[in-house]
Amino acid sequence: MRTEITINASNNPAANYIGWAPVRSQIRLADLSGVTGPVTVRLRNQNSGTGGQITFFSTILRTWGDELPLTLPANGSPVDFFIAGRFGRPSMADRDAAIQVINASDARELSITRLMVRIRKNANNLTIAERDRFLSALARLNDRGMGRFSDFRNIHRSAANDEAHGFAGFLPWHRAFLLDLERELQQIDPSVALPYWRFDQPAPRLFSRDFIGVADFNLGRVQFSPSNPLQFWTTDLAPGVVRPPRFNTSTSRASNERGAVISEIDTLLQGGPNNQYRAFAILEDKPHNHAHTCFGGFISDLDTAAKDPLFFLLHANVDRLWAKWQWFNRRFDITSTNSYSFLGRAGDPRATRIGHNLNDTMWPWNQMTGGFRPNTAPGGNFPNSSTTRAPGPTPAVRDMIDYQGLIDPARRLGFDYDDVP
Amino acid sequence: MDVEQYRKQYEEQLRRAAEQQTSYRDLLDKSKSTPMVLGLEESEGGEQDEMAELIKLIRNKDEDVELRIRTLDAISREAGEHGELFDVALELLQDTNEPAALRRSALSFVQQISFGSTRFAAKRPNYLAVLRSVVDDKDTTLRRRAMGILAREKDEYVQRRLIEGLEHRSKALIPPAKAIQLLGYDIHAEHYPILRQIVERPPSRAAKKEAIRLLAADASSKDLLLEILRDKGESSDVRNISAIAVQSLAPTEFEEIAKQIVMDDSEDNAMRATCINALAHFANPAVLSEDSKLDEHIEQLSATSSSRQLKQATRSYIAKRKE
Repeated sequence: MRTEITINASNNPAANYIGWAPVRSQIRLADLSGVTGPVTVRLRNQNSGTGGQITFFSTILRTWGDELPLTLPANGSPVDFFIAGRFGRPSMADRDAAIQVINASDARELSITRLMVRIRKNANNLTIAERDRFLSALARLNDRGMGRFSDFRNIHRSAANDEAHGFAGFLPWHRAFLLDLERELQQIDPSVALPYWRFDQPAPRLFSRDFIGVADFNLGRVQFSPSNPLQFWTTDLAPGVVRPPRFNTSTSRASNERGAVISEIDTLLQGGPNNQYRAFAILEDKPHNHAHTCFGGFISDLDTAAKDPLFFLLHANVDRLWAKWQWFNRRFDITSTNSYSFLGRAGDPRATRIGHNLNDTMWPWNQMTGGFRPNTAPGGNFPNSSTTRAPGPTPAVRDMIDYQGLIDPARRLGFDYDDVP
Repeated sequence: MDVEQYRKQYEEQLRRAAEQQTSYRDLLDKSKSTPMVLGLEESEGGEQDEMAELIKLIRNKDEDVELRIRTLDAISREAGEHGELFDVALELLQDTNEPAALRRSALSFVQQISFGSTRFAAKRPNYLAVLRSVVDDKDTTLRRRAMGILAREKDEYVQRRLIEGLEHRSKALIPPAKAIQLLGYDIHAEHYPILRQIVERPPSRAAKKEAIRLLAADASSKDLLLEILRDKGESSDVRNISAIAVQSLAPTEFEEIAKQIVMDDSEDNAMRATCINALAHFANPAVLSEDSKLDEHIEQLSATSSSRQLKQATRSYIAKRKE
């Protein structure tokens, strides 16, 4: 007798990655030898002391905990259940979490399914192994300036400014941009999740030669240790990164002549007493623009910002702040202006610029060029994922709001943050 | 972690923060006007008069500089509605009689509010013109920052001035290494001859390194870069940059030289670590598979070397080879 578990609607182990959001799973008797009737099994979170931890749900609405009893039909038909990573207990390594299935009658183990609770974490707190896997994947994506990264560099340029900045869609567009990059990294190493730079806290381990690099005092040229693969980072045919900081990256939060970036709490308070998206979106200026201009060099200017790998960690934090605001204020309902300002589509009365209304598809993934859109659309459609079908090849703004699939599970995008349940 | 407990704790943090908002934090609440926050008298004429009063304060040369800077910062959130603030900041930036601290703050202000914003598109030509006027400023920081912004904008004027400074040192506005770095934002084939000259007769080691980086895209500089890479008499950091440039320019030749460097026990450890790192991440695995001696040597280095960097690079190489 043997059981088989399917996660994220796939038998492929490449689908065995989960976050905090419950995902539908199935279990069935795969080997029916010796089966005479329904079999009661217990699903267990194995290794509850180390690695990623799993919570089971019998239905999407009901928490069950570390174990879940289920009765499996003798004919091998599947039984649904739900799993999620246990908040606060993400994986540290690929497939360090496991579901153990025990026969309730004789306590015999029927199967072990290994998986990963893959979560975006504070870059300053990554383990050395997590850091090195991320750097290696990023460097290979760049491939000395000849890799797929060049599309990301070419998407975030002045010519596409109106698609991504200055309007309501700033947050959804950048959420899609980061997820696109993260999925590319996961093609190289599926255990990688994009880390974030908490710019309102000192991050000495991030700003080290072994990680995102340290700028030299005179030129702002970023120095990497010889074993750091980012030392081969190349954009626009020239190797290297320029990033002179206007603050002490070892001891301080991000700041410049105009002071320090506002804290996470103050950012969340920007939503105002009614916690509306329209008010909260001011974070594009503070802290986002502020954080960009706490350095000189690539990251301080829109056209060159994405040349610096730090760009993606900075934006992961901006996205995390939005996610936290959404979580705290329950802002996932795409039919409410509390969650997003412009609910229609371009051309509607009182609509905003094309690409920034809820039902507008987003450039470049929609591959629309000319007119109000830029003349080129680098990178093609949005990439698939082995863990979710969302958002599809041509995402719209609406596809970025309910990112955990809390209202509509089909919208789950497959990422989570370590401090946002 | 209990999520409901976590939510309660977070709610408490937000509540406390909201209660303790300082005058700066009060700016986040649109119901309070900026003059109140700054402790100024509120004008009877409404928002327009308030803004005019604040602008007057910022422009007032007799006023305390710190207060002027603070006011400029405090009203940045109003910049979307009050385009004149952009002009005021440009005025301050351009005025060489104003204190440098205020002018730098004005530059940061303009840079921050215009990052990614199309609201100031019409003001852009003036912004760039003001930056060009700052290129000759006596304040070194302002000069460098203005040149940096213009270089990233691929501004022809600043490129001309950079080349001029590299060709005639007496006309240099910034150190040659910085000038080369800024030139790199828009490198053209016509720049390569002067970069090669700098590599051959460098004004400083920093300038040489910056020039080597830019030559990574110049096929006709391949031999020059290979020569530097092979030269054990050259400093380790210059050779390191050459390795990176050669790897980009001539990957196959680089792999051969990198293997030689790794196998050579008299080589510099940092160079060997760089080469092992490059082979681990970018070399053709099929080619590496044919070289068992290299694998053995790297395993030996991993076991015996006392260099932290070298050990780290060998560990990464061994892990990648096992993938």
